[in-house]
Amino acid sequence: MAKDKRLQGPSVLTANEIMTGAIVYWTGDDWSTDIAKAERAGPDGRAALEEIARSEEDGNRVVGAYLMALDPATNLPVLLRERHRLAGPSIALPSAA
Amino acid sequence: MYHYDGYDQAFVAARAAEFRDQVNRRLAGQLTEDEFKPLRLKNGLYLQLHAYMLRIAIPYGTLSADQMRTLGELADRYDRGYGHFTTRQNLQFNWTQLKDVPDMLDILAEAGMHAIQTSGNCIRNVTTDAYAGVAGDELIDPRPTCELLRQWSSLHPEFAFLPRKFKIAVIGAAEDRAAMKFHDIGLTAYPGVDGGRPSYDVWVGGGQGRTPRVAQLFEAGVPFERLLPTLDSMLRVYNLHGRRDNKYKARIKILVAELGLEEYRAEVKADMEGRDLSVFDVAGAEYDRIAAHFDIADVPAEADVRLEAEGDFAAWLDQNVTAHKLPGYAAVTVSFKAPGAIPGDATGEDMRTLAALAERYSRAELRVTHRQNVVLPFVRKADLKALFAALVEAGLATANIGLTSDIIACPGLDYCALATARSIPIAQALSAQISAIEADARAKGEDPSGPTINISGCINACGHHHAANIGILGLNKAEKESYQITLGGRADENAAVGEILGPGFAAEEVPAVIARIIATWREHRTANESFVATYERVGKAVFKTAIYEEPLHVAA
Repeated sequence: MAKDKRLQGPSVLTANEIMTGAIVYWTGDDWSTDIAKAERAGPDGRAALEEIARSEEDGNRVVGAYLMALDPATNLPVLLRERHRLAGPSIALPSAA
Repeated sequence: MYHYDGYDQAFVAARAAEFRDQVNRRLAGQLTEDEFKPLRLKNGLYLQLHAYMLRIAIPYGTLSADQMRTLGELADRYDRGYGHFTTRQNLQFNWTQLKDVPDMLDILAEAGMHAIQTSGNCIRNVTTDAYAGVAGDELIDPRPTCELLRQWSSLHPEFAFLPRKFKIAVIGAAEDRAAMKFHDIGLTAYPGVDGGRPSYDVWVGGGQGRTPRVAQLFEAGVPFERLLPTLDSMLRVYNLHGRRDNKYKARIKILVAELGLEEYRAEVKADMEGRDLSVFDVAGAEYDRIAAHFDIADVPAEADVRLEAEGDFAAWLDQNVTAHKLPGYAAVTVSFKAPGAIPGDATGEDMRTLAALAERYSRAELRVTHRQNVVLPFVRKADLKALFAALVEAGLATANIGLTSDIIACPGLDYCALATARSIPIAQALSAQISAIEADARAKGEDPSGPTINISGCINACGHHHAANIGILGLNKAEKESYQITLGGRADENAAVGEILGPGFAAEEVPAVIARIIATWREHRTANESFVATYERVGKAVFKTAIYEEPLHVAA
């Protein structure tokens, strides 16, 4: 069981794809850049996702895999940092100007 | 400027080939991330919030037009069409893909560039005055010393695993334009007794981060022959005694504070006395070889020109043009702080424009400033008007160097994995607000100058907030961004750490708070008094009352 109270709600497994660095989410059988396709785990399912995180890292498909907690009310990540990681830069990129 | 010889070229090419092999082994599963991470960091490759980030060294901020063009090419080919000039005079690409990095490093090596030691617990890129070699008030060009230090510190086997990162800055003028006293070691170079190689005042233990410290004078008047032995022993004592148990106490500033300057000095002296220093005897000849690269005796003399100017051109001459040591020349700073712009961000097209302008107007040389702008160091005064017109055409003629709207900001939570809050949107909002006030002042014939503003998105202080007249530090308070204000810091020769004003503010309150701080200064200043002078005279309480007593009336 996670000691962190923020992990009492649903979580998804996220990481960066090794070749490109792209942020990806575990769908249940593969990685996707779309969080809507992510497999959600309650407190009971987290151990299985953590096991997948280790095996996927050992298989050199992703780096920095970890469980990201979601707020059940908003479906958004609980942490400020994760909300920005999910949304991407909040500014117009210079090359788009 | 310094150009690689065969040895340098082979060195960076070999390093790029070595990293290609490491990346291949990583992608083939022969290296784990734990094994690979220190290797990629030693080559400037981070994993940031959204992607890999590649930090490229621009040694002491000097680069050629060809090198700038190469950076523009990398931005367009391998990134999303832009890069970010940092407060360490480097350039970062935010959207690098691991599979592309070996090719990027090969292209950089071809252009005499690399990403070596732009990360990790080693001696980082040596920084200096962006006007080095051309400033009218310069005593000696600090860059031959910087290059000597680059060669001494690159892949130095004894200093590859220091307790923490190590930053050295060198200046060669009385005015400090490189925040020298906020470095682990700072050097002031000046002509030596025989007028040839320099002597140095050596400063130690400066830094920002969570424990900001202004450097202390370690030794004055160190002759050239003793420079490398002294630095080598300073690093050896730090390497031996610096704390490795706690990364927040691992910088040399903590060691010097815990040991005391006297004891640290004694340890360094004992280390020097106990070893064979003849290995450093080669430094003199190497210094002379390097210094020849920076010799400007061949720059043709120009007649001094008196410029007739009005309107935008006059404002730009006032703000962006710096006195040169050669008659008939000026140093021009190109601002990357247009109203609402992202500080230090430049597109590939901007980089190509700068390269072309440097070739046409500045002996094909450029500098990156630690305030995240770019200098054309050798512009003939007779060419200033044509250069200005070309910059207007390129949208790069913002006339605000050294003004309040010339804001430093780190990438913050829009990019950085360590950030606790965003920096860039705060900088954008303030720059739009303050640029309008500066334009208004100028239109009325008033002096548009004011306090410096620096913004960091976490306590690591890459945005130099401690060293700003008005510092802004973004923090995470219960998963909401909160901005703490510091006042009275300065990065010049009278370096000081800013004082925390009081409780933090929400992002949308920051522009109103900054406006109130500037208004308080204007209300209390005597004629032509600087922000810091007023602050030191009237004290923090006056500002605190002005900021906290009345509600800000800002809609959330």
